[in-house]
Amino acid sequence: MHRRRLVGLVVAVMVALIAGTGLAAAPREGGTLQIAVKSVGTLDPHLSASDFDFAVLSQIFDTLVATGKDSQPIPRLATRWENPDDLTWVFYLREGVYWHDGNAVFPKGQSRQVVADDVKYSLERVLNPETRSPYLGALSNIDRVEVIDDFTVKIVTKSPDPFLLDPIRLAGIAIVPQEAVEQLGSAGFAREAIGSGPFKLVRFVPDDQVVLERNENYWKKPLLDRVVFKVIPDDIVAVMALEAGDVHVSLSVPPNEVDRLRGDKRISLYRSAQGWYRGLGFNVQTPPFDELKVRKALAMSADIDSAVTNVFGENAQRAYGQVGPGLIGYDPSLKELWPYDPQGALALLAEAGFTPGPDGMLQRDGQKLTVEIKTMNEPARIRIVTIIVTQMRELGIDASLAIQEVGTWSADLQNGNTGLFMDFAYSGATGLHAMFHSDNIGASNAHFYGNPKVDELLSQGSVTVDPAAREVIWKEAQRLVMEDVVVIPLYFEFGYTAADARVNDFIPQQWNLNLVSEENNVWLSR
Amino acid sequence: MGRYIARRLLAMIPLLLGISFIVFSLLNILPGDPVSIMLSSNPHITPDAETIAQLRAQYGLDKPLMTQYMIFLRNLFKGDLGTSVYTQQPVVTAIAERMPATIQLALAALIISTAIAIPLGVISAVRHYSWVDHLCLVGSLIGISMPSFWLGLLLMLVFSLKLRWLPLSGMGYFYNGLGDVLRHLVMPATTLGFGMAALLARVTRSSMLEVLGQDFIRTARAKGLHEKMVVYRHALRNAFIPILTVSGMQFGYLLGGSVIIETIFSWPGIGRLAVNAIMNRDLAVVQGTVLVFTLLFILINLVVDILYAAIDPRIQYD
Repeated sequence: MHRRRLVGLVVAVMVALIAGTGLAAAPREGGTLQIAVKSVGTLDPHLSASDFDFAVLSQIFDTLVATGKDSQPIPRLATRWENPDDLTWVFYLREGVYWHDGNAVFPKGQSRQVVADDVKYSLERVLNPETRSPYLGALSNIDRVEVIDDFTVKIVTKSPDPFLLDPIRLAGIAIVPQEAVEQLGSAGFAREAIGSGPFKLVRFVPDDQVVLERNENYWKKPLLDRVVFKVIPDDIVAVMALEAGDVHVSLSVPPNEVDRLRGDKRISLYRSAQGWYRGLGFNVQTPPFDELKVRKALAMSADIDSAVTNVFGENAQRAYGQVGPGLIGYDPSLKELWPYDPQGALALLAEAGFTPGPDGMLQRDGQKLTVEIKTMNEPARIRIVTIIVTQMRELGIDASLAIQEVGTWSADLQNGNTGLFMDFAYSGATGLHAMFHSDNIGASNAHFYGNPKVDELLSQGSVTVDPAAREVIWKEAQRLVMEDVVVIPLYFEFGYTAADARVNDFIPQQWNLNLVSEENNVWLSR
Repeated sequence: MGRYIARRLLAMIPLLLGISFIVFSLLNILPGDPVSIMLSSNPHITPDAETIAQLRAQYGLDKPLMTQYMIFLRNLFKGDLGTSVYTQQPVVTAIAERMPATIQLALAALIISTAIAIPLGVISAVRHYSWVDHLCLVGSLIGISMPSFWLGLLLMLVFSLKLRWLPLSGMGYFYNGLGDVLRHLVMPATTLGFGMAALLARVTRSSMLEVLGQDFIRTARAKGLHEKMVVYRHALRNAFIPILTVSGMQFGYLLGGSVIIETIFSWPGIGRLAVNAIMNRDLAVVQGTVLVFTLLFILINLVVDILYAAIDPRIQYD
């Protein structure tokens, strides 16, 4: 009797303990997750233009491949893929994935499976100029798409393409059903998006909200009942909405709000895995910036380390090259190229013929050393450039800051109407090629820089599939560009996402926003 | 009256054409190309020259300016305002979808501002130089000079973040009940209406003062009419023309959309659409919104002119 009671007690305690720990960690089903986004332009993935569009689209649609926590590709619609040779990619599709039903195209219960033909149709739709997709160029290396069987699709590229998986995993190149696009028309499809993703569209009110509900048939059942994307164009208001409990997640947090939010226990902050490259670029064809000595001297004239620390604190990392941490080609050893040395700068400028004039400003042949730094209107960039300009002026350089509206700024950069400017920020794996290959002069190479050796390396790196070999080439090209002082790298800026502490299993957005993936399934605790 | 209205409506056509030409020319003088801006604002792609050229050709942006304008005009007469470069949405749809939000907000702001301004203006005039008048003067000065975004943020801080009485931002919908609509409407409409109320109160006061000094008011008082009757029946009605003019103009501005209010309160109206389009050089959308603004402005002025005749029988058209 005694023993029985004892055993009973032990069992009861054990059950209670297991149940207790179980309850604390058990994901809860249900609830509506509200996410603040700055804008939602369109629900047609192939015409989407921003990360905010991607955040919404990656719930409604499936891409072949998704991006995992560690920035590596993970399965999504394709469960696996392989490269039988350098030009061929074969994707094996998940079976039993159905298009959303209960809409104008697929009535309730009458949907069909997503098959290889859909993949072929979608990629070809992006590649058709009449679609007007901005991702046309990103896929232009694709030679053809072949359907092997219902669940196997082959992509053949024109040249070896180590970067093919980068565009393939963008929500902008998601898989769409042909009959929906054709029946609804392009404009209709952009409003009534029908995909195969974890959530399906309930309602889209432009500039206001997108309401989604769980796709019961998804291969991994979403824990959330609904997801609502609320359009809040102002960053500060989005943070206020988070604090007021109106939304659970704000996908863009202004840098100066980050430190304040860090102290709030009700809010979790997530830092982006990668930082955006920010740097000053030279137009190397505009005098006097066509002289290496002048460029080098300007790079030495300002204390960029302190400027970055002062403006950003922990929210940015000093950059010494264009390729950011976590990407192939990241090279911290470039630090040695960027000393802060005002006296050395003056000596170099003296060698170039610049001497102090009667007013103390440096001049050559009666002409001042005028440096106007053009930047778009964005507070953090303006602050950092202001610090740099001030330090340059102390040395006698006639430096100033020109704040431009974004359209004017980008037109000036592309037309070469520049000397020194806040550069474009292409940070992906191909950024180096975009910004410094002479093929891209007048488009993404705003430096009007062409160096045959660099061109050769970048072209070679772009077709080198082996990552280790590519890293060597990429680093060499980057070092040459930096030695030519085509840019003055400033910093890698991290993006922040703030979420209510009750949001669990959340992974910050990288390319797409994974709310339900092989790695996670977001849920809300009470 | 019918002929007058018809004449006014016909006169709109050259005006709209002229404005569309000016907008078209101005946007083409501005540096910046919609396709390049769209491509370079997307961090995941690098705009190569070939893609830019292909997309520009698709949008007809590679054609000579006059040809582009002629195409625009031809489509305009078919009721087609073109397609947005950014969203691929027909401009007509984009505007039609946002119009109800803008009208809702503008009407609410108009109601709030007239409800505050006219009584205050009348009281200030009737008791001019009294403490009420001075208080109204100070209030109007604050209302006119206070930036609306500041008032908006202040209201949000107090009523949403601290007191949690009102939703912070966004628009309410009738399918959630009238309460949802009103709760979302209160703060943006008040913010928008406040500045207008200040101006309207000043106009009401000065117009009333002028009328109250006239002979027929003295006559009315001499007849032994009750003071309320004198003020509201005789004076206010005669003072109404300038008030109506200012209200009409202001309502036109409100319909043009208050970009700042719409941004702060995340209101899905037409002002935000227009400004984003200007930033992105989304020509078709800019053209479309400007044309609609112009049309509304002219129509409101026409309505105001017709109302003049209703208020003051001495005013006759034809």
